[in-house]
Amino acid sequence: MKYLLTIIAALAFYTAVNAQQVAEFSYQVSFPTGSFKDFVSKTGWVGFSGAYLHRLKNPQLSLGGAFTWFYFQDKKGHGTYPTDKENAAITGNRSNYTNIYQLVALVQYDFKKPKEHMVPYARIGVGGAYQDQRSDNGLYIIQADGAQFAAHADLGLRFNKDENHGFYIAATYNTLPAAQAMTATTFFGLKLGICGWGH
Amino acid sequence: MRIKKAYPKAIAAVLILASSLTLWSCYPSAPDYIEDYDLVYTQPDNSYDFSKVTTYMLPDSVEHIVNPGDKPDHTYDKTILAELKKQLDALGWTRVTSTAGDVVVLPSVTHQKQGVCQAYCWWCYWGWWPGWGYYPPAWGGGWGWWYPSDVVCATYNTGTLVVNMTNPKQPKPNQLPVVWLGVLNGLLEGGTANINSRIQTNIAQMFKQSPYLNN
Repeated sequence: MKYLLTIIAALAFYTAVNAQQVAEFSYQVSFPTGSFKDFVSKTGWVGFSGAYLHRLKNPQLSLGGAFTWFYFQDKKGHGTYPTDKENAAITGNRSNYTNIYQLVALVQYDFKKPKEHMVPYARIGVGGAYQDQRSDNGLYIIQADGAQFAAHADLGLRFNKDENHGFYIAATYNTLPAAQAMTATTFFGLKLGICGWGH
Repeated sequence: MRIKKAYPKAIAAVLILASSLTLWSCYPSAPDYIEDYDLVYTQPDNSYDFSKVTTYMLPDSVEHIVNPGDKPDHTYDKTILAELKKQLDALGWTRVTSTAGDVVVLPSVTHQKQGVCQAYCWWCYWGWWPGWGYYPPAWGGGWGWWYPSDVVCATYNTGTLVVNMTNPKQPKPNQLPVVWLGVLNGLLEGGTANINSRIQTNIAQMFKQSPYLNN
């Protein structure tokens, strides 16, 4: 995490005094998959991200960083649920939810020249996250939280409104492998964002 | 190339706002009704053969675990014992009055007074700050408290019924092996009729979610 922060800080400083910098803000709707879907099956409507990218000498290639906050909740309601002990069961009102704070380094490749009106792109983000998974059961909260690896891959299309700003849509897949007592977290997402750039 | 400086600055402002999200978290809204907090947990000893059980011993009283100086509240003992008998009889087991039964069923009750304070504060996100303060029951009566005007405190009673089903035929030194455990936990709030009804419903649930008892 310390290395990641250093890289992002260095990039931010470098882009402040050099070449073209790109700032983005996006909103994401997320759809849980895999074992995470057992924990939270409902669509996640909270996903906000701020990103900062620097275009390299080859302007189709960018490096940067992003901070993202996701929130998922699933009020499973009253029911009988199995536990990790064979034949043990718990009945009550259950709500599962998690807050994820993710900080990643980004690599992006534009499939066309950045000044084109429509620019398809692919992006990979790799870094770390702090996640706080909780399950409210009656008067009790079962909590699993901690730091974990985080990565995502995006395929998107950017629409350049003029030479300084535009917006983009993207399909994304996020993964945070199981860590400590936390359930492995994977989800697809649809992202809508705005971006602006300058020297 | 014409460069607009204002737009990246606006984006930067949004990014700063986004970074402040680290101070934000979301939580689901709390349940609406007292019974929504009821919790029933059961766990068997999977090596025990319940199909061989034909008799049970259920005492005439409920054990109360209270703090020194506190008086036990026996208001719900009859309901607990009657519902346990009803459920055990429904398994086809016969009640016996000695510990010669195949299993001995021992109900015990604890209850606690909890206190919690919550603050509505300008530095919090919208709504109530969860778990801003807490004092354990032992700090209750006799203490004088002063709160800022935007802090609200409340107390509530919680109760736990633990039903231990033990095997008297294989005692260890000073111990009876527990072959089945049923736990009911919830808020001891509301009228007596409501609490009695919830006790009956949830004891029935203990047996409903333990189908292996009926083998």
